[in-house]
Amino acid sequence: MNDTLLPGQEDQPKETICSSCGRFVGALTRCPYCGARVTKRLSVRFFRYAALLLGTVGLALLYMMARTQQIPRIKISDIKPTMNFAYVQIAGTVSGDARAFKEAGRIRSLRFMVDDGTGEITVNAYRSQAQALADEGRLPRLGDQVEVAGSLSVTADGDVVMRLQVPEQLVIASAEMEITPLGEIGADKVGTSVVVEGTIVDVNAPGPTSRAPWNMIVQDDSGRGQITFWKDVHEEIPDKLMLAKGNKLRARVSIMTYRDAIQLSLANAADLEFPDRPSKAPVSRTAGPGAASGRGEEIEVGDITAEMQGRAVRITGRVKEINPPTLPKAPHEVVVEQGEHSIAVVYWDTVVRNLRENTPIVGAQISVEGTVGVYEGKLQLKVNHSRQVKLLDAVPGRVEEPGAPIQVSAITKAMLKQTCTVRGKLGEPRSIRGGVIFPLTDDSGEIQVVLWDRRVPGAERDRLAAGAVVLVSGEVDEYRGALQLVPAKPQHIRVEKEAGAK
Amino acid sequence: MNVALMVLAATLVGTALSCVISILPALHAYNVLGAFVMGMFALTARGIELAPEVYLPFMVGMIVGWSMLNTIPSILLGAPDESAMFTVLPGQKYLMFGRGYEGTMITGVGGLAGVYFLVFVVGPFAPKVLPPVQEVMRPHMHWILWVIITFILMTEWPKGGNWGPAGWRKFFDAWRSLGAGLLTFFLSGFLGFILLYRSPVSVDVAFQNIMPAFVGLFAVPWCLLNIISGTSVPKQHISESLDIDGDLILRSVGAGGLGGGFAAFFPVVTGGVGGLLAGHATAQRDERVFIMSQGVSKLVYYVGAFMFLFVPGLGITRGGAAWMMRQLYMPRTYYDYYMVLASIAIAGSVAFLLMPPLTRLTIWFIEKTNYRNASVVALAIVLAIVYVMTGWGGMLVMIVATGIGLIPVLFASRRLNCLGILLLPIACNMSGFGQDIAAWLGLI
Repeated sequence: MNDTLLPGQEDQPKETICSSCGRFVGALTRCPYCGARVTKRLSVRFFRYAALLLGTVGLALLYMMARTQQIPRIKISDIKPTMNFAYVQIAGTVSGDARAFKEAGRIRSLRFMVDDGTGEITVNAYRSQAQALADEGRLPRLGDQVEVAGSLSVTADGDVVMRLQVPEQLVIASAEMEITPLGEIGADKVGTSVVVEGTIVDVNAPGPTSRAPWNMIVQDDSGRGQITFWKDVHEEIPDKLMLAKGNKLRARVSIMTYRDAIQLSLANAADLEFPDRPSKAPVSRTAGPGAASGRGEEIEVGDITAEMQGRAVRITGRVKEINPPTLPKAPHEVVVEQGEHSIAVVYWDTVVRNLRENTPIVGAQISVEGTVGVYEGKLQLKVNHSRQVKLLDAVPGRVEEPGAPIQVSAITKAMLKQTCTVRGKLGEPRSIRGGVIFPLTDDSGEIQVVLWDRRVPGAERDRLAAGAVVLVSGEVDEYRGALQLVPAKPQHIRVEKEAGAK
Repeated sequence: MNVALMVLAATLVGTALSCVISILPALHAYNVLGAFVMGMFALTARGIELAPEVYLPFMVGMIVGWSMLNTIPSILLGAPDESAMFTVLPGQKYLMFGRGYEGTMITGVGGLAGVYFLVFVVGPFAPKVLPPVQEVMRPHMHWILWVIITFILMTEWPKGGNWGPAGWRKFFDAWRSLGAGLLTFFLSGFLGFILLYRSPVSVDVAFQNIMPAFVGLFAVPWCLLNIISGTSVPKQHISESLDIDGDLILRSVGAGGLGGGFAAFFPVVTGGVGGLLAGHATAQRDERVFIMSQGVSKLVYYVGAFMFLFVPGLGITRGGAAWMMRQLYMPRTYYDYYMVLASIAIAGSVAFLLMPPLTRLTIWFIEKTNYRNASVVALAIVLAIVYVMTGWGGMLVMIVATGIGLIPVLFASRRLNCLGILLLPIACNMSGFGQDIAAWLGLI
């Protein structure tokens, strides 16, 4: 017996042993000890090249598939913890001005909030992406309509953040905004964005070591307002000498409150201009919620071509047909015809929910403003906001109606996962992780109404207060033995009597 | 129920379950933890919330148990995981000499030493030492990662080209395995880019995007080769003593702790890479040190990466288990940290005590039956897991990844090159040009 053999080696197949020196060589085709070629069974060789083929061809096919795959569009309320790392797209309204964080003169990150009607999400862009957006002057402002794609980060704390990977995947759609008289700015406009114009009557600069913001009092014919901005914004203002009493300014500002007083917050230097010394780029008077639209040029349906892809246009025509989505994330399609020509108008659930009296009806005259696009070789007009659709024929409003209310005591465990409606008075709210719980009482009993942040955003909850009488529809759920009602969206809570009203 | 008892019970249950997962070749603890996390989400959606004192020690038990007991199939049945690849060759030698039991136990001793290292050395000092280290290292991570990639690629050695007349034939013979290694690295890196930006896996289970690819790269090729190969295992001797001493254990802890600790602390670097670096850095030539240090490295990597999530003030997430944990619970206090350390110690002790009977059981199994059956069962289980968790999209990714994962196995290059799936896209992203490459590829 050869003394180089390992125990049990004689039982091994001859393909694993060098035919020349008799040593164990395993899968190698050339003996590492004597260099002799070792003959292998065909199957291993075959698999070798089959694997190579499978790996490369499969990868090429996967790549082609990935390139043509649409980025899934989702609703914020649909985001689950299992969607961590998902690359998705959302569309909504910017609910907070973009905030840039700087380091050594360069933008380190950029953050803004987007509300799509079902919830709110923070969008972050870092370093080169953030810098590119700032350089291009594409910083989202409160009230802007945006479409943004990026990867999600979801943690156990309920923090949901989207990371913008490519600046081009942030599309900001906006419309011209009227100048708002300072005297008309009141508490009802808090949380919106407006353009104001007036004369500087006072300027208060912070001290050299102070962290306080700059303050300016501005006056127009209707009243006065206080504009505030931070030092980093001041550093970016090119015409600093114009920040003096008596100079006229025009600024796009967000309306906020500080210690119960209204403040006009200037988030970006680019949003400030001095009409007496016009800057190269005028203040972008982009729309806040409810602002008048009209940025798209009026055009005939027959004149729309594929070359116009990405352009904003407005058309007027008659609704020929309405096609609801065929797949869960597909858009709604309305075919609008004008004479012999027609075009598909597409929009998603977020738009549908807010259309209300402008919901298209077959045969009705309609005006639509949207962006020209091509999908599967067909022209289409993409609508991102409900205000871009206007029903010109007078039609009765069709607002989502809740079901008939039942008594709280009638809700039992047998109704778990069913939707029901109750009317009652709200009690004191209690904060929980990711939402708020309101106790709701009627003559028969009490039930907890759970408002999750992702379904009923903070701004929507602000209209609810202890003592208000509300009509609530929601799914019956159970938590630690107690029944609760979970509304799916803000529209499922209707305030019938404000708190304190008689 | 007393909280301490609850933690103890959950740790024991997790460790016990890890026994089943560990002795089934190719089944990774992260695959099962992924299913567990999805189950937790389903329970939460139904209003049932488990206390962190239940699921946290349970997960620790699973990870510690698997990291230690997975040595059994690594040595006795092959190498299911890339982090075990260095134990395969010396381990196989032990197996072929009928000393598989001893080889397994030596690696197990390494694992036990790794637990001691984590609990008694890393545990007390981590909250003070690691946060400033992380702060210093943070701006340098990207170039360190590129150095590691370069090292991995350049330390691949030719498996042919030593014999015969000079010429193209000899040249290609030498470059065959080198080329296969480079091809594997770049193909898997390309796959990583696709999965990072446009994964065919549904967005609803995006947290498991990479899982089917890992199954395809590492688990499936191993199962397939085991099923089709003709190797049979000689009779194994059950030894009552181990050929090691205190000096060997200390040297193993030095080498393995360095490699595993480095892998656990650095993003994307895995146990296999850490083992490679530590092996070169410490240059331990003794085969026993080699095997034992891989046991240390593997345990320190898997358990350490999970443990670092709980180190107060550190704030880093490393390894698949920690990323999954972040979606269930965000630790913040020393309470969590001590609970995890306690669970690691208990699970480590129990797992090591379970090692001899489980090793004997496995040896009995491979002697009595055709052990390829275990590969068939393991393959069926991993396929089922991939399909249930990620659907047809995941299966597609797994098939493509299998093709890539078979290349190093069949062309005799390192399986470590498959880690290009993480290393390449993440290194590009950390250097700030990953998005540009993805955009150039048309992925975003």
